[in-house]
Amino acid sequence: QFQPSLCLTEISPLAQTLAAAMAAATSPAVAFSGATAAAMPKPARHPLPRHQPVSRRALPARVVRCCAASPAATSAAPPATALRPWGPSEPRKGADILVEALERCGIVDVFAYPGGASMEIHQALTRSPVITNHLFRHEQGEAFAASGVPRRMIGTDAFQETPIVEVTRSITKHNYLVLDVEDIPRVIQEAFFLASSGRPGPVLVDIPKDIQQQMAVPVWDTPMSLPGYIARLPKPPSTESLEQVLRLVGESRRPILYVGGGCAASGEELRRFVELTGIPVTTTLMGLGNFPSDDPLSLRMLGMHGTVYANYAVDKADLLLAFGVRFDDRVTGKIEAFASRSKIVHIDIDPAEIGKNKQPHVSICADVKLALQGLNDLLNGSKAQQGLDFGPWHKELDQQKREFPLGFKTFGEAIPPQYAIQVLDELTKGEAIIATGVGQHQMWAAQYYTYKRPRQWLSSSGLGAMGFGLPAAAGAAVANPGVTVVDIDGDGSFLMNIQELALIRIENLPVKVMILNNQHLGMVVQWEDRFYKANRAHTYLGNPENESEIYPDFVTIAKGFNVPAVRVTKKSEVTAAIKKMLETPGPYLLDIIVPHQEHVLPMIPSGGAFKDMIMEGDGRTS
Amino acid sequence: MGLVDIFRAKVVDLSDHTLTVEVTGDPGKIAAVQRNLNKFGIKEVARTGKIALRREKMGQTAPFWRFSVASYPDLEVKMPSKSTLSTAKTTSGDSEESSQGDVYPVESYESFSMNQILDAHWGAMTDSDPTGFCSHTLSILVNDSPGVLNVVTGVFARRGYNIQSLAVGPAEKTGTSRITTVVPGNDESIAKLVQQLYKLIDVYEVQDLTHLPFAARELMIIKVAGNTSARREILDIAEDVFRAKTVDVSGHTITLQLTGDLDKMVALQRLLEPYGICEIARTGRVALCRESGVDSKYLRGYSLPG
Repeated sequence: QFQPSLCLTEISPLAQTLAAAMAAATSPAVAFSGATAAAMPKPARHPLPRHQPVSRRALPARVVRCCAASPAATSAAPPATALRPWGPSEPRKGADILVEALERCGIVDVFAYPGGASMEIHQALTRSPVITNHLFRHEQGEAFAASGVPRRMIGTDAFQETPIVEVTRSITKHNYLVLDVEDIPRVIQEAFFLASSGRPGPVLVDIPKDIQQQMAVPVWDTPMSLPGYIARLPKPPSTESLEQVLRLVGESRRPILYVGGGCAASGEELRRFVELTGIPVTTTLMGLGNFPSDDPLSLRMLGMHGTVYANYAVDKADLLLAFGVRFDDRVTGKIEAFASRSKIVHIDIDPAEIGKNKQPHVSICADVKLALQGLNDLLNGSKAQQGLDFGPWHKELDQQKREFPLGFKTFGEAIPPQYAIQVLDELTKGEAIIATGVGQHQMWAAQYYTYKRPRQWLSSSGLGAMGFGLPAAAGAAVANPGVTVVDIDGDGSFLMNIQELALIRIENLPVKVMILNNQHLGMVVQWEDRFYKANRAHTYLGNPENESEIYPDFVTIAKGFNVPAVRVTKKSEVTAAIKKMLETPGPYLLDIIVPHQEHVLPMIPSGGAFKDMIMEGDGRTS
Repeated sequence: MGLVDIFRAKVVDLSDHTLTVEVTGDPGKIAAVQRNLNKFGIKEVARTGKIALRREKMGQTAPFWRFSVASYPDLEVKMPSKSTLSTAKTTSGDSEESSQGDVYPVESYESFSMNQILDAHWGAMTDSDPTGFCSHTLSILVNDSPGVLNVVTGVFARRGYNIQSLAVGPAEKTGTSRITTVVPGNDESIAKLVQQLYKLIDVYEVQDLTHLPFAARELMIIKVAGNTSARREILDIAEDVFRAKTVDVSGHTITLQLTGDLDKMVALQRLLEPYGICEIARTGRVALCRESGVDSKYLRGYSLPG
């Protein structure tokens, strides 16, 4: 059911590897990069000269059940085969142990970029009958090139020595530096467990090359050793706290569900809860798709660029049910004014998030899936549930939806970017997986496309990493064969990882790239228009000597990668162009030229409240 | 108790089932203490790191520490007196309206106060502040492996918490270490910090000792300038009054070792200042919960004015 996938790049543009990894969305993804971090010299056990740099992996999250944990799969260690000519109790290289450990965790797809550091691992991968590698094209920095650092030079700031574990410490959930080949089975098991349990997060495992080459017989059933962490994992929610929540629901007149990324695994339970209670739902940018946006009770997105009616609802609500959210500043604006009239119920698996930004009245530290299941069980057929009626509240919100719908203006034949996304939504029936870069196109993709299931929307929300779109779309295509994946990108973001056109062509992935090309860095232009008197400060991405030509010419570049590409400039041609894009099998690039004067609306300026919402204006008027 | 005498340790807390003992010495002595007390069963250990001062050379080639008249009473040399500066700066800015033109909301520049770093009293606050802002003592039990301290202090740094004092050393179970640290904050902010620390895989337990009765000690080695004539006075203050120990003596300096809580450290340092302090090495605060439940805060008189 879960397809784990693995990502190996020669360097660690962790943003990029994590992009692809994260996008293999229903699956745990593991990222490797070859690099030259130094391992601590191990006392005398290895007489061989240790010259080589280390390779590292990062494992972003999804629930992975490692086979080492389930006895059935482990018991029979496989006999010798032609590819792997060693018996169950014969020694094999550390790299082979690593690959076998990954197979036992159910990894089928790997995104790996070779280099001297990770050659052993790549060689071992060729001996794996199960794992397929997908070769991305991004090599970042000659610093990570293939020559090695001799072991005796470690700690001496030698050429290319890079302490990757130190560097990534602040951006990973946990790090491992493997210094003993016997540790590999346990470390891999722990790494996957950490990455996917509790609050999921990336885990980095650093394996020096000499450890990869060292011969050993693996012991597969070494138990994990994470006593503190496992003891602190949140317990299932108590019935009393769930009943308390339901009591509050019963007493409220204007409740609202504020749903975020934490509910990605709870789509079914959330839908059932809304069915039973009739509470309207609004989602954050991370939470798009966790509740279907075409449902009448959906208020779509809230926050800085959220809909008017969603922000209105939160402002006027008397009960805020915050499930799997972290009260981020993009959502709350001025924290004191956010949901100022409501009682707050906060359910989150991370105890540090509860009360961090906003103090809840009732809090439950537990897996929101279990909490929703519990709530549904308590509600099912109960008298309280039958008494719930939020009719007047629904009417109020419907009126707001009618008065302030999402909308845009059309100017002649110029293509409104919002229109292009709307057409895409109609033609794909809201079923495609959408990946985006960062910027105006990202906001419009969030607003104008209908997301019906979790993990249909892939975007770099909190981090805001441009260049996320194409690798993420590629990863999603690998993990979801047969599903159309569309990368709605901006010209700025797309240029940052344009080389992955090679990957989608060679692997023939059905990734459609739809570029909303306004020749500018759109979101920054919008802020310049609003707050800096339209003073352009390095936001023009075209050719200043020839502004009438589209620069760069993505259509020609794509053809260079052998990816079919078309440009469209007139509104009347959009529908046909998108249709052709969807009907052409394999990769496709559609360059849609849009005006740069468009602004993302509505907008609540940072630190603002609902009353500060801006609903009018664009680059033409100011 | 016999062991306590042999090692010249001191009992600092007593309860029905436990004894809390303070002992200072070189690592060999500490190892011996632990080995011997293991027979009785060690419940908890809080250790500082090692501190060290160079022993003074004697004779003509020895460095001359130029200090106040008091340290050289028989020499008629006029020395500039060392004045201690107290710089508590406060800066206040105008509060800004919610910024229209910023990607990130810019908060108003709040007033803050700075303590002079070299002051003996490094700013440990008591609960005199009405907002509850005081120095909290945290005791963190962590996995003993390379990089763990980095991870823990990384959490402090990233979340903007200042560390006033830090002591790390092996704890009672092999493979674990105890980090004792003093962090200013109010109850709410420290509670949030504790939550963030619990997210770390290598952390086993975090205890906020501030509001529990606890025994806290620091170790200081202090080298004071003083020739033979001044020596008697210095030793009078140090040994008789403060129960400090002399660990080194030279022609013009004396090195003393003192264990105690923060107020005692501060008091001795203030008293020795007129003589001229050459060097100080101090550990961070180590603390363990008092099983007896006696809150020694109320047994003291007044805490020193900051």
